[in-house]
Amino acid sequence: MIAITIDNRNVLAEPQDTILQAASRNGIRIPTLCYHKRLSPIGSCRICMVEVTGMDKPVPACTTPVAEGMTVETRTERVMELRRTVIRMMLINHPMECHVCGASGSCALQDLAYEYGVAAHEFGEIPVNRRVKPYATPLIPYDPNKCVLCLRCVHACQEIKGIDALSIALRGSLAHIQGERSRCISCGECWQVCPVGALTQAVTDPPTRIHQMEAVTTTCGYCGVGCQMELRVMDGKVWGVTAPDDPEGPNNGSLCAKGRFGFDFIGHPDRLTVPLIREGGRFREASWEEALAYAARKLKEICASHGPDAVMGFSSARCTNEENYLFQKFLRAGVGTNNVDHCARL
Amino acid sequence: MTNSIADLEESDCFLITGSNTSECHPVIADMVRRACKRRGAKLIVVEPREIPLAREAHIFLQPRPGTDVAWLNGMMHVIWKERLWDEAFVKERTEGAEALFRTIDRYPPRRVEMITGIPQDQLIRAARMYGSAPRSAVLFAMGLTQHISGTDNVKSSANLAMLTGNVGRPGTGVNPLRGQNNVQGACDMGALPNVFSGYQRVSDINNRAKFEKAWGRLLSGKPGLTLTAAGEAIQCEKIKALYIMGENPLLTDADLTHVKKALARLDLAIVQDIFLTETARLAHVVFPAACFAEKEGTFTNTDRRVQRVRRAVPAPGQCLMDWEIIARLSTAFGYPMRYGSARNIFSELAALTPSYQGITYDRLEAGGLHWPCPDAKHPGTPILHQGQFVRGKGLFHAVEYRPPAELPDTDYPFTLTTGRYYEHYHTGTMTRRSKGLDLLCPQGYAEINPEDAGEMEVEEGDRVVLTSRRGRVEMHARPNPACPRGIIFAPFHFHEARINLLTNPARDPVADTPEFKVCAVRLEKAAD
Amino acid sequence: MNRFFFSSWGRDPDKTGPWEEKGLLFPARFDDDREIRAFMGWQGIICRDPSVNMVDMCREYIKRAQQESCGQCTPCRMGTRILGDILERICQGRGTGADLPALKSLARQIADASRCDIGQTAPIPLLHALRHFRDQFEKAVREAAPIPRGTYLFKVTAPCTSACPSHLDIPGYVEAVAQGRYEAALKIIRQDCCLPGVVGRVCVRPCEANCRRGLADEPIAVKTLKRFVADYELDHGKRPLFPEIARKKQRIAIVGAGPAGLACAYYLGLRGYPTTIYEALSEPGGMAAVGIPDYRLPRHILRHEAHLVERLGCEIRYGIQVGKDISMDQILETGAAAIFLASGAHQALRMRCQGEDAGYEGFMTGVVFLREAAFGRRPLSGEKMVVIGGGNVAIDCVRTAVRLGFAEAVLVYRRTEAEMPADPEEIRDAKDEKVAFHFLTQPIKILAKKGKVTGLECLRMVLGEPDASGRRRPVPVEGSNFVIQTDAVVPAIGQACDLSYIPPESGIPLTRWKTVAADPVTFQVDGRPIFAGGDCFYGPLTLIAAIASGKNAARFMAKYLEKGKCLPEERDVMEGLIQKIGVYDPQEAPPIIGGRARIHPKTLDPEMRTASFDEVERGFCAAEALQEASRCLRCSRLALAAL
Repeated sequence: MIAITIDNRNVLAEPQDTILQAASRNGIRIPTLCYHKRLSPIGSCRICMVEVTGMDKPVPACTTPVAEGMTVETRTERVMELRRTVIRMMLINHPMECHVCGASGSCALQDLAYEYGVAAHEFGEIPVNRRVKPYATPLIPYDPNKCVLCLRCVHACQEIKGIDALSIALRGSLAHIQGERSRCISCGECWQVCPVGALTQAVTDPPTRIHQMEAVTTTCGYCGVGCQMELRVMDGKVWGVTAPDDPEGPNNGSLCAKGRFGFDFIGHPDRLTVPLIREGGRFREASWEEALAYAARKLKEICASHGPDAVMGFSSARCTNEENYLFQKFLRAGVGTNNVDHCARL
Repeated sequence: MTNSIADLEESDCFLITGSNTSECHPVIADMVRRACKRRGAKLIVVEPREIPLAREAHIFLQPRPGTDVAWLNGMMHVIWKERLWDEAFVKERTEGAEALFRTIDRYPPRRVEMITGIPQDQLIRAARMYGSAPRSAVLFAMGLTQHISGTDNVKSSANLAMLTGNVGRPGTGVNPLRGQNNVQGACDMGALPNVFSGYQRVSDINNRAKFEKAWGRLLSGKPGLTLTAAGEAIQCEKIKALYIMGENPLLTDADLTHVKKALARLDLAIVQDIFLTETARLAHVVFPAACFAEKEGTFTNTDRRVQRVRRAVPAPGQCLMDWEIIARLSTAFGYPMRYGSARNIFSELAALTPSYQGITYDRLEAGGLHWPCPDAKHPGTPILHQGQFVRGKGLFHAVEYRPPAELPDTDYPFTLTTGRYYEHYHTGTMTRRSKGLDLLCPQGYAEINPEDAGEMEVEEGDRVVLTSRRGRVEMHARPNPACPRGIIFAPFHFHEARINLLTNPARDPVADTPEFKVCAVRLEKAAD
Repeated sequence: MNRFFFSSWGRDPDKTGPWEEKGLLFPARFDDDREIRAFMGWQGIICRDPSVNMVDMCREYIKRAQQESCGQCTPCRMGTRILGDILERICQGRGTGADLPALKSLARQIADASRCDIGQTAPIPLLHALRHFRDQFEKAVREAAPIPRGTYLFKVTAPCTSACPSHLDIPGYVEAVAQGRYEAALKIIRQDCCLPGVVGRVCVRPCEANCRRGLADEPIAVKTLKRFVADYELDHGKRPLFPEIARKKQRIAIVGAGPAGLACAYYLGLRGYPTTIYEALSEPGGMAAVGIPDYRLPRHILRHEAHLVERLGCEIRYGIQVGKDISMDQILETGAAAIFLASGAHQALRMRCQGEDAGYEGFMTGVVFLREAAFGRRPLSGEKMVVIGGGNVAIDCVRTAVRLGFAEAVLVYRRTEAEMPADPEEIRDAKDEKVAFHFLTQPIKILAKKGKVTGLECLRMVLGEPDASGRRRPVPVEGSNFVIQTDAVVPAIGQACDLSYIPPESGIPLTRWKTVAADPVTFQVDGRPIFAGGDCFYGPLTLIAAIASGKNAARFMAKYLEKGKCLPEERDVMEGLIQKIGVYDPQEAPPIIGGRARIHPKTLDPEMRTASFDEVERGFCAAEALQEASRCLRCSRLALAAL
């Protein structure tokens, strides 16, 4: 550990820490926007600028390494004003329509503007990019006017997914994110890391503020990776899927298109909702009691006339451990046969 | 998997075969890509088709379908001859090496080239890359197992890992990627004809005694039928009743015509599912079940990690969780089951399953646990076979190459191989009902090499008929250079094009897995 | 010519300090016709004409900065746009009194907060102008009249880019590596260097000597990053995608398949011109193949990259020595529309040492020795070998001797290690391989018995006064003669060109250093369809300079063939001007906190090395490359000249 001073507090930092890491390790908050813990430091937003004694210019806390004896000040008039200027710049051309924005309430720009008291369009409006542009995937609309070019999306696509479908197009104030359809896998990683409302989900109808909904952490029901995911729930319905930033999970906060967008089946109108019994070549609805009694009676008859080994059960790799256990227990102990298998071979 | 997914971050070399990882296990493919691009790990892909990951591989080998044992033996041949094998490991931790050497001696690269079509120099490069990396991991999926030689293929890849000492250390191992969320768990829980939970054999009297005591009933010691043998058993009226929970054999099984006929013969078919699937339509009674978002429980993923499933929303209508339905049916049947919660079931199964014994719901709140986890203090086992193999010494099984059951001929000149798309899952009951995924990928194609397509005058989007000895399917065609000549790829997600009407039910003699990855077909343009 | 002169170059706009008239270094004329009226850049303003409107010039400068802004940080991306809009308004006569303080505070904040040097330096000339030419700004606001636009030339460079003879966009490709876009990085490199795998291994890397990061801690490992992306492509079996180009009819002949010849063919190929290279050796690469041993530059790398050149419509005819197997005239008769001479410098310089012409067995020049070794032979026998010289070729000879099984390999140099022109890393590697060094030693006589070398008689030297090269001149110590017993003597003190293949009647002018006299910018000889580059133009120089000459010659040859003549372009002139003022300032203290050490590639264990010619340096793995590339400060510099 090495000793540094942040805002007149003597603190200890790991030698490989950046100023930002050292500060957060010691409970000192430095405002950030582009920084994301699952990404390498980007250094694009310049919100985290701090002053270091001996340096002529402020330095970004997220990319500057600490050094023994360093003295850092995070809230000098100079850097506070710099942050205000940067926020003003981000708000140029920003549609002031937080009330119809999906990110409102979970928007880093909104929070910063509030914290630093920046009102709308202090630099005036510069007419650029006024159009929602086609993005790498049809499932995620991109609004360049809300985009602050923090580049989290680009880095996530590159660093986490290794896909590299996103890049910056054009230069200067015309710069915006451009996606390559042929590379994109619609995993939604970009959407998940977007700190503002530039990326949204096309599949939620009506539009909802997914990030503010209750998050139920569970395990994905598709392939065998077992990704940890958060089902975003409101009014008994799943509206979207995010992934917890859990470095211990098998997916470390990442998902694929199936996990991210394959949730509509949950409350789908095609779902079975009542037990059915076949009668004369077609199904009729039945009560649970009736359906269970019917099935149990027929099973007992078959066992009685043909023996328990005339019964077989196909269990399911889709169901839980508890259910699989119970299923085989039912066949083995209840029915009395080892005729139980599932689709592991398929 | 012998190793954990997180472990892959430490591999120096990946050998991926029989797995279209970026489509079927995308998050693992991300890790592999990241390891290669950002860390400098090496990637060898061995696949008949040019899968997306092949484009990022250092070495891409394209064997003829069904020739895996040959090239695996060939790689071992090179590793052995060039002394890249781990002599100390083989000596201390394994047995049966002499027999293996005798076998692999017969697979020089030249012969392997003749069998597999893999150029010798490429095979040698791959063998050197895998053999000389400090930590090499084999990843595979159904592309290796869905063959009549599936078990041999797996043994062969285990031989390769043991020969090079790539077992029991981080970043190594033989790692099957399981296709379904809880296929590992279903096996662990004894949803298999020959074992109770935790792979305790039913034929063992002590095991039976233990479960008889816990369950209060006498139990049969005769192993049951496998799923793939069920069709025949139904046909000859040995099986009269079938209870199907969350399965759709009418799309997933080989030779569907046969399966459908079989199901129609049953006296009782109980189907328990979330949708009225193709299979459910043939049932006598259908139970509506809750889906994963509507239930409590646990899944065990491909790296043996037990993780919680939590209820996020109420189930629609009268749907019940599957365990509630089983318990109620069992009670009605005369074997009462009363649990009250999934947690109670888990406590019971953990007590009876040594590898799960140390796992509790309370512990799982802090994150998943890898089995074996024998007691409450045990941290779980992300890496198997450390220090010693489960059976003591690792046993080499020398295996010989056997050609696939059905090779193309003049009547059926193409080899059909089946698989999945990135956007869809299994029979598509869930993914095809998700707007976004359906938008990305609304239909399946018979993918064919452009030169073959040119000869057949088949263009993108044309309707074609695929015919095998067992059935015919009409679908759209798409020329795709990723398919080598003579090979047609088709997905099995789409009920409009039930590709398993064509596949061969010939099975691996040990694992009973059908040969989905190779069957001979004919392709014709559909009549207008 | 007026006498007006103003310079704020290199001064802090807020502080009054001593006038450092670096600005005077900046040339007054652009070319024969045009004067440079003013210059704006990363360190201020130089003005020679009081009539230049600084407000307009600032507008242009900031507009250009906005166009160059990569968009990767907020202050530069949006800030230069706001500055530009305000300046535009003032120039249109719609400025207000509030604009000037707004410009000043915003400019300062952009310079403070931007991520790289575009944003950090773009506001500097504006701040200078606001201080030193404030009256012009006030007048523009007061009079509210539109200001006409001036004529300007603009250029983007960087210290590393400017130092590189081929001016690679180093910040561009290093950033691409840092972003994991290896193929994009390689594409950037190939715009200016068609042999990335070769240059990535053996470049003398002037870029690194001019790296600003070096002022904070250590320079970026530019060379090794270049090698990394080249190897990445090769290891993954990928090949560059060349655009489809319509093949032109005119074929161009090239003498020599060395780096200059290959580069010329490559860049002509990209322009659609087919080429034929006549190569005396049986290998591509020229000196890079037979002068650089395989342990530094494996031959398959060179062959691979030469093969890519062939894919662009180049035919290499090996084993044909121009002047012997085919004459210059015959080449022209084959229908070549132009010739590029790139025959290299393969002749060893004489060391003026008694016995060097005696034809002793055991004596061989370094050039021949390395060439023989390159073809897999051991041209000298014995147990001990002495190499004379202090450059990279001498080190190559002595390290090759170690690998050829000489039990003792000795290097003799007349100055000290500090004066050695060889790359310090090469010297270190030679020491690791147990090469013995005799410094301050001058050979005077080769000793022989029965026509076979037995020893080398030498004099001890001391260092005297500095000579023209700035190095201290070695002075012999009287009577200090001593003998080094040896079986072989190999002098490697320099090379010259063998231009005997050029007949005097061809009228191709030669210099007094026996090189082809050609235009230093266009490489054209005497206005004729003949161009020359590489060592046969420069004399023995670096590989990257040879590539640069081939690349530029290709551009001017195409121009010549299309237009009938070729003159330096404005960008070439601009580059020359900027070099005069210097893009790299060794006195500067960069505004970063250093302490992130450079990553050094791993090398083969010295014991393992000497047994074979296996490559010694290993290159970066991806993790190392990403980490190293992320150290780059992206020191882009914008230059604007008012004509």
